[in-house]
This record gives sequence, C-alpha cells and structure tokens, in this order.
Amino acid sequence: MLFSSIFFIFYFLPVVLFLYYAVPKKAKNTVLLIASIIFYSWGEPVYVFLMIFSAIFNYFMAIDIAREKKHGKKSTLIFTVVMNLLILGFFKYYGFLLDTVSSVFGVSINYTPLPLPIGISFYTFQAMSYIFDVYRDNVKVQINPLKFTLYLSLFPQLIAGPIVKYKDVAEQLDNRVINLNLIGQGVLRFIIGLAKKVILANSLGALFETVRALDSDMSVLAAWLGIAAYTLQIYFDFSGYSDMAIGLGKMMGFDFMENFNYPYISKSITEFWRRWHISLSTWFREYVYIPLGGNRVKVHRHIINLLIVWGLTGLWHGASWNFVAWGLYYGILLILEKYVFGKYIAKAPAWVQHVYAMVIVMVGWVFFSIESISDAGGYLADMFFLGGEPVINSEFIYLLRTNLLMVLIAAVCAGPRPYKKFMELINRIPALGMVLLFGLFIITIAFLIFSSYNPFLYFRF
Amino acid sequence: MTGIVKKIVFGVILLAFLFYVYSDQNAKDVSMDKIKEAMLKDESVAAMEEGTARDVMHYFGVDVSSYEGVIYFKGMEALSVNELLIVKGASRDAVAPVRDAIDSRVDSQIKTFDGYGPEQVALLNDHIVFQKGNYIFYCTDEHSGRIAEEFRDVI
Repeated sequence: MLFSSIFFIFYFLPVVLFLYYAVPKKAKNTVLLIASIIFYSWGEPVYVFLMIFSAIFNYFMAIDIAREKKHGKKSTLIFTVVMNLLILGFFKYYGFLLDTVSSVFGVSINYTPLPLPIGISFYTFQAMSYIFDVYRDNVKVQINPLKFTLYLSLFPQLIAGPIVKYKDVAEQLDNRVINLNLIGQGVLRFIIGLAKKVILANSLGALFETVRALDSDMSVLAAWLGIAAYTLQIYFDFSGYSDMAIGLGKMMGFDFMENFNYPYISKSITEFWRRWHISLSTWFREYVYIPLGGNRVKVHRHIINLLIVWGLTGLWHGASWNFVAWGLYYGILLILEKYVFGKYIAKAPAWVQHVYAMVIVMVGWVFFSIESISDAGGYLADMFFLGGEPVINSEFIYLLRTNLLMVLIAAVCAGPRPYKKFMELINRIPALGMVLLFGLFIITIAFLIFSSYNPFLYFRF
Repeated sequence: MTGIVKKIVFGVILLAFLFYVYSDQNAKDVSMDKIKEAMLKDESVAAMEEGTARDVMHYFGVDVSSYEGVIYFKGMEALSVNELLIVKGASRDAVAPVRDAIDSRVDSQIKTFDGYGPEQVALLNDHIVFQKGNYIFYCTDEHSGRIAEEFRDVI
C-alpha cells in the first residue's frame, strides 16, 4: 500500500487513526500492530510471513544473546547475524551472485529470480541494530514479543525508512505522548511529504524519463537537464516518504529520527553524507565503521575502512555493479576530500564549494539512476561533451521551456527557506497557514487523482 | 527449548519458507501457443475475442515486439471490462514494467466506469495480477480465479 494513494489517505489512515485514538492506552500497540500487518500484507501477502518470521526469530535470539553474553559467549550473536544476512542475501543478492559467477567463469547457471520483499533491507537492518545493541548492553532485551514485532513492523517507516534503531524508540513502545499539538505537527509534515512526492517528484521523474528516451535527439544540455531533474526527483521522492513517515509517527506519538537535512545545500561530499539518508549513514557508522576502527587507525587502515563501508552502502542499495560503483565512487571521493583536496575546497568561495558538491552528486546519480554501467557511461559521455552530441538542440529548448518553472520551484524548495518561511507564517497567522496547507492538500489530491501509478524510488531497496 | 533446538527449528522453518517461495515463483518454459490452447479451453476465455498487437499497445501501452510472446483476449460487448493478458519476457526483470502498465490500465478503467458501472468496477476491483517466473498474468473476469489456476497448471 502506498502512502500516496487515495485508498491509504481516505480509507486506511482515517480508520486506523480513529481506532488508535479511540482505544485505551494499553490497546494502542495492538491496534498499531494489526494495522501494520494489514498494511504490509496488502502488497505482500506471502512475504508478510517472512517479516513476522524475522520478528519472532530476532526476538527469541536476542533473549538468548543477552543470556549467553553473561558467560562470554557469542555463538548466538553470530548465528543471528548470519541468518539475517542469509535472508537478505537470498532475496536480494543470490541472482546477482549467480550472474557474476556465470560471467566470470563463462558458464550458464539457470535460476528463478525472486521478487524482492518490499522493505526487507530496512527491517533487516532494524533487527540487526537491535541484536547488536542487546549484545553491547546498549538496550534492555525486549521481553514482550508484541512490542518487538511492532517495532519491526511499524507501518509508517516499515517500507522505506527511516531506519529506526530500537534504542531510539524503546521508551516510546511503552510510553508515548499523544496530543493535539503533535497530531497537528504530524498532519503538517505528512501533507508536505505527500506534496513533495506527488507534485514535485512525479513530475520531475517524467522529465527525466523524457530525456532518457531522447536517444538520437540527445544534447549535452538535455543530459544535464535530465540528471538535474533526477537529482531533484530522488530527493523529493525519498525525503517526501521520510516526511510522511515522520508525520505519521508524530500522529501516533512516535518521534522518528530525521532522515534528511537539506542535502543539496552542502558544500562538500562529507557534508552531503551528513545530510542525506542520515539513518542509513548512522547505521553503517555505528555498526560497521566504528567497530572496524573508524578513523582512529593508521591512514591505510582508515582508507580500507572507508572503502568497505561505502562498498557495502552501495551494495545495500541494490544487487548490481552500478550500485557498487556508486558506493565506491563516494568512498574514493570521501578519502580524497579527507586526505588530498578537502582543505583546498574549504578555502574556495562558497559558491564554488556548492557547485563542486552538486556536480559530484549529480554525476553520482547517473550511476544510481541507470542500472547498466555501459549506459551510465554513455550518459556521462553525453554530459561531458564526449558523446558527439550537439551542445544544444531544439528538443532541449522545448524541454527547458516547458519544464523550467517546475525545475526552478523544485530547486528552491530543496533548500530550507520555503519551509522556514512557511513555519514562520503558521506561527504568526495560524489561520492563513492552515488555509494554505489545506490548499496544498487539495492540489496534491488533484495531482494524485490524475496521475498514473508512481511507486517510491526507494521501495526497490 | 534449548538454544540449539531453537536454532534448528528456526533454520528449518526458514529453509521451508525459502523453498516454498522459490518453487512458487518457478515457472516452466512453456510456449505461448500451448498456453493459449489451454486458456481457450476455459469457456470464459473462449467467450472473449482475441486482441491484436495494436490493441495491446492501445490499452496497455505495451509494445508486443519487446517480449517473447503476448496473449490478449477482451470481452466482446462494448461495456465489457473482461480481459486476459499474459506476457512472457526474456527475464523476470524484462516483464516487470508490464505490471505498472496493468496497474495503470485497471486504474484508468475504474475511473472510466466509476459512477455508472458498479458491476464493472466491482469486477475490476477483483482483478487478478501476478508474476510467475518470466510470465505476467492479468485477468478481469467473473471467473478470474479459475482462469488463473488453469494458467498456473500449464506453467
């Protein structure tokens, strides 16, 4: 089920919220758990059992891990991590592995590719964060299986994050505050996220697809326009989902971590990754990078640590070489920023720093948006005058004329100012703010009714 | 339950689930002629008329030449929403976009009949669509469940 669907907004959510607010406090978790399972099974009637299995398995294993730890053993920890990785690997990576083996050894291995269970990368990482934190004594083991299953299956963030760590919501599973102020904040956040997805991301996605289809009519500027559209699309798509998830959480008394902090205002790649998909970056930092030694090691070891983390980050996003290349691209750039040219970039004028960061990010999105490495290379060649395409042609002028306003609005909205101004207006003249928000909601619904099916980009991860 | 027994139980349950999922998704390589022959044995499908490649492009935006085979049948009456579409691709990923095309088609049909065709809307809401191996199956019909089972039996 999509957040940006009429069924979710006008049927599922109102019914769930009504029941959630109507029942006494001790029944709220049960209502949420049932709603979450229905939400997931709507699109994944078989794979819902995998998610429930994951919850039950990790629940029991965590209890054993806590017990074993007292005797200095970690066999259950290893078993649990291996099983979680096996589940993730089976559904996400076995096809990639067999294809790679086939091409390396020149053999043909036949297999049946499996559909990826939605959200598996997110809920598996959440489960593993809990397991690691139990082992490290960062959290108390959860003895109530319903509460743990609720943590893993919470429908607002189940499918595309933010990746919520158990220690961040453990207290909220027992006690959470629900009041009109928080509900209002949640509704506002949800509507803004919905508008980002439906009005901006979907329209920008259509522009990118149009550019991709240009083929022989491609030009250098059209290639840049296309990747600029994708750059904005993926931000509004993913951050829109995160806004909706955080907003829904607030409506139900949960406080999920922020996942984005205006990444496109960054002046370096290091800063970009502090602002983009924050929940994933912090997960890798806490459970992979720091255990590997982080930056408190010799330079060569630090470089290896960064390459491991960024190779894994790329692989997390998808089982194909373009994602590995995308991850390593960032790993190498972060190493270069840290040890080679970061200090020079920091001394450049602010606009130069910003252009530098955005060009690097846009080039990165080429690998991300185009799965075939050779096609991505071809697109990059078009962007950098190497594809033999003209700099400008009539197709580009037509696309620019018909989409310039949308791209400009999107670029401005990717910065903090519009949201800040809107919040100031709401605080100063609440009635006007409410009218504007309601207007935005109506426009979004109109877009939704007349748009075709547009799932979120991050659902495939 | 001791730790080791618990681990074995979880391992066995997981393996059984993975085996089930794999075999459920597995499909034999059957020719489209054989599938069509089997489908036409169903009286509901036999009552429909076969659509052309142009119909598939017109209604679904799907270019038949991009796939290994396409079967399309449509109800004969003007206001009928009954349809059967089976697409075979070179790989599972190759037919994935057809799923979006089918979702768009169903949405568009529901919008068309919303308000004056409650029977058609009910049928469309009960449509069946699934992917098995390199095949994608879509059917809107009073007996779509039966037709889907017949398709599963063939592949």
